[in-house]
Amino acid sequence: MDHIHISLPSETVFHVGSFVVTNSILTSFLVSIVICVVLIAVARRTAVAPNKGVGFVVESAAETIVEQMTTVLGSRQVALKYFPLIATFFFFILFNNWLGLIPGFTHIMVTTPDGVVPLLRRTTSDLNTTIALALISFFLTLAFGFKQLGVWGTLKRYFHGNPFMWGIGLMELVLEFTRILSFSFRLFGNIFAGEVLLIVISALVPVVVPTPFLGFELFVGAVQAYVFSILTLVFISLAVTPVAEEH
Amino acid sequence: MEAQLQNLAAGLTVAIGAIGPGIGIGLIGAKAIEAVGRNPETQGRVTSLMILTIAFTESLAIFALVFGFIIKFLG
Repeated sequence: MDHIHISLPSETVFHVGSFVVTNSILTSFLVSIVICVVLIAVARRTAVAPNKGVGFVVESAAETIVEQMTTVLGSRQVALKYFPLIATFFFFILFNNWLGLIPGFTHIMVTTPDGVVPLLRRTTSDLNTTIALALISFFLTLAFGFKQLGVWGTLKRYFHGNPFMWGIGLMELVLEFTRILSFSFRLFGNIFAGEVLLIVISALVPVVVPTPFLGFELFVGAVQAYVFSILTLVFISLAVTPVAEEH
Repeated sequence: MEAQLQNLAAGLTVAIGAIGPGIGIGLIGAKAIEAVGRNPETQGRVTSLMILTIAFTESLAIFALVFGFIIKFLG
């Protein structure tokens, strides 16, 4: 089993000054460029009613996301306001999860001072990336809440009504911060576990058997992208809703 | 010996910690499907509530995973 290569931290490929460039950073840039090129190319020649090609796929995906957001937020106008953030999360995580499943993607090796390491690695199987995404999600939720309700209104969501019940509000406030942990480890855990599963299965039986697992990983990647973006949206919708006045 | 025990502890932490959330997520899913079966037009609302509740339940299993990593790599 000594030919199995599993690494929890991402490996350093090269340095720019004192800045360490790891293989997951390279992949995230690659994914960003792919997304930008595809989406800008589609946006440049929009048709009124596209019925084939990439434009059709992208427009139906965008429409589906807006519809999903409308069922959560209750109004299409509000949904369109948060659409850029949620769609960015969705497409970035989805492309990252799926690009790494292309056979041979992680097998391009380069020689570095630290030894032979893969040039590319799924960004979402690196904890640094998922923590960064979780922090973005958490602080933007907070910012949207402050913008909509003000600092006082946001605090009022936790401390309202009977002062004896404020202890529960305090506990809820502390629990908000565990969201950073659960957001980042949910994505990282699912994708990293899937990667380890694929590596181990292909090492045991290299032919035919890994195929259904690859299909399953495609499914998991899509579900995790959906869960991350929809959960961000649900927490945003909770944060911008003022607490109901008691009568 | 000690390193082996540490591996065992990490594995057991995740394994035992996943039992409760596993049962919980099953119950949530079952009840959500029951609710949609009784009242099909509420599907959109029920689905988003279900995902939110599952996320809270799942975070317990994720804490177990974090503690497993801590035992394995920092213990």
